[in-house]
Amino acid sequence: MRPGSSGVPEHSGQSTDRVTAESGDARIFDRGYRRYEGGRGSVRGAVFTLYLASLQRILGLRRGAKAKILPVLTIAISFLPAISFIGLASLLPDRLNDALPDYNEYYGFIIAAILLFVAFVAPEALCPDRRYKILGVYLASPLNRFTYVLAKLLSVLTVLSMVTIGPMLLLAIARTLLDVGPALSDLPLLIFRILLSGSVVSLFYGSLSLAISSLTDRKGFASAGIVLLAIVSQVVGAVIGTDGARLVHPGALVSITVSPIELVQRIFNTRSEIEASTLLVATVVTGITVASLVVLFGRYRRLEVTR
Amino acid sequence: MAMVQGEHLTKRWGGRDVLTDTSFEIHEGVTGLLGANGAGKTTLFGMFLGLHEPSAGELRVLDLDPRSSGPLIRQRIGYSPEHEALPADMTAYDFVRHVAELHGLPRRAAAGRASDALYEVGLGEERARPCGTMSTGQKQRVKLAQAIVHDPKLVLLDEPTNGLDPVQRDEMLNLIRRCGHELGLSVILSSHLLDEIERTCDRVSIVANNVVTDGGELRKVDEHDRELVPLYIELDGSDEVIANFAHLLNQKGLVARTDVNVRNLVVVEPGPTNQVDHFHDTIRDTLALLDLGVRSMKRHTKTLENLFFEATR
Repeated sequence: MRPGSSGVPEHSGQSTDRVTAESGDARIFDRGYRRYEGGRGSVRGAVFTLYLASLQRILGLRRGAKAKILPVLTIAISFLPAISFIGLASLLPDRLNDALPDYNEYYGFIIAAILLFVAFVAPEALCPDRRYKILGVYLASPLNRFTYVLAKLLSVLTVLSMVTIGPMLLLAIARTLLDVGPALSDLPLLIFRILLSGSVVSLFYGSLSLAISSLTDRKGFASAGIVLLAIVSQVVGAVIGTDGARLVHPGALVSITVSPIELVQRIFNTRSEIEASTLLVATVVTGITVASLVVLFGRYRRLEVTR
Repeated sequence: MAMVQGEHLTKRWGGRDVLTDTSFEIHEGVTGLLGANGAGKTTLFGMFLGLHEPSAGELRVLDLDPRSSGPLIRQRIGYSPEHEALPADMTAYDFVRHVAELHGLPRRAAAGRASDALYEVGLGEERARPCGTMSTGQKQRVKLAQAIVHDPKLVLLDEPTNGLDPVQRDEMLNLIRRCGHELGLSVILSSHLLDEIERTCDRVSIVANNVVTDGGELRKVDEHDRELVPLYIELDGSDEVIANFAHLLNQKGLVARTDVNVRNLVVVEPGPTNQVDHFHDTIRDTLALLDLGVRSMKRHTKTLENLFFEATR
């Protein structure tokens, strides 16, 4: 690599250059295009390549500093409360051990990070490919429409899982080390609940964000659409689900900021004020997720790509 | 070997027929796909890539069916779309390497070949520049590099000279010709410009009136399609000697006739058993025998323009 370069090799590298002459330390490489006789990867390899590239893009890697701000902020906001609680609890164990939040309560701290990611970072996975018309190049590779969207979805879910599962696992480890965590026998169930709730929330918000992003090639419009949906659904949910000052009616589940968090409460088996069965809550969350996936994959199935 | 074969192919698109029961073959080498704007060239490329299914008929690309073997076909095809199709904030090198990896090349090989492909298209020094900062000519070159980086068997180039000035256009056409003749890649170049195809391609297929017509070879017409290339010889001599010249040629197995409209002109074509070399030797020897002077001698090859107008008539 050239010192200080952007990762571009000075030349193609010894792996592909043929040494045509060699004398002492001097070597002459035969440079230029040639046939490729080596092995080629499968469709799975192409999906993995796109997955990694999308992951890099979402996280702002190999891009300017500006592109890194929001992803870093999202991850920082999600981990900061956990790190703060653990730090304070270890410094002042007598006072703060009881103040450590429960796992289900933690979503209250990170919902801002999730929404920030869903609205402003996740659209980066889909919108630029259509805006710059690169989709045609992708679909001229071994990928097809389904595997393309799948790779994009997986990359978004990976980052979202870092936000939804990472801090919880950190909290569980800290609680165990501080000896205020669950008994060792309960640990597998706790980890299962953390993974399940994190996966449910990630899939819900990931598919919703990409479904809206699939409708426009402008990242700004996608962000505005997601924010608008969050606000409108929250208002509607508050209007039809409020009794006095409390959200108790099942109608509150139409809010995209309420229903997945409500399902998390049920997964952790904690009391909730919304008078709805767990089956209803799970149905609403699953319904919205499936509808989002149908919109996402359906949109890409019909999309014109060669023009 | 046929790179692409269509049998009774029909494609309906947006309520209209793009192709109607057409059969064609596209062979190795550099082939021009000539057609007016909107004739269906891009749709045809989409079908080759397995992105659009034929409404009826059979299509085989690299001897595979795009409907069932789409990923396998696309792994061995390079495609450069008509529009810009480059990520503005990604360097040319990163993008070309990424495309190589998508086509199944291992990371290390992809990195090496990305540099090689960019050198090949003349962007060796510019490869670390973001695509968004490049000129139109450079962008077209990046598109060509990403289409050849994975050593495809077949390269599809959709209007690769769009937006280029005459100098850039010349350079791009030379590059494409080089891809076909020096790098050994089979190329299908779509264009609506006759001279572009004529200058770059070995063969031409014409898309017009919902059918794909094989226009044949463009440069080797004299070797392979002799009936298309009569030799027009304008002589310096009396009518009697010129008639005798035609007579002698006919006796020696060639087909010669005097032109009643143009004085002193003899039109000569090879006979059914003549070899090309024998054809020329016989004319030379007969001219020498009769001591005839030659004012001019020229071939009338069938031009691409003739072919195009025949196909679109």
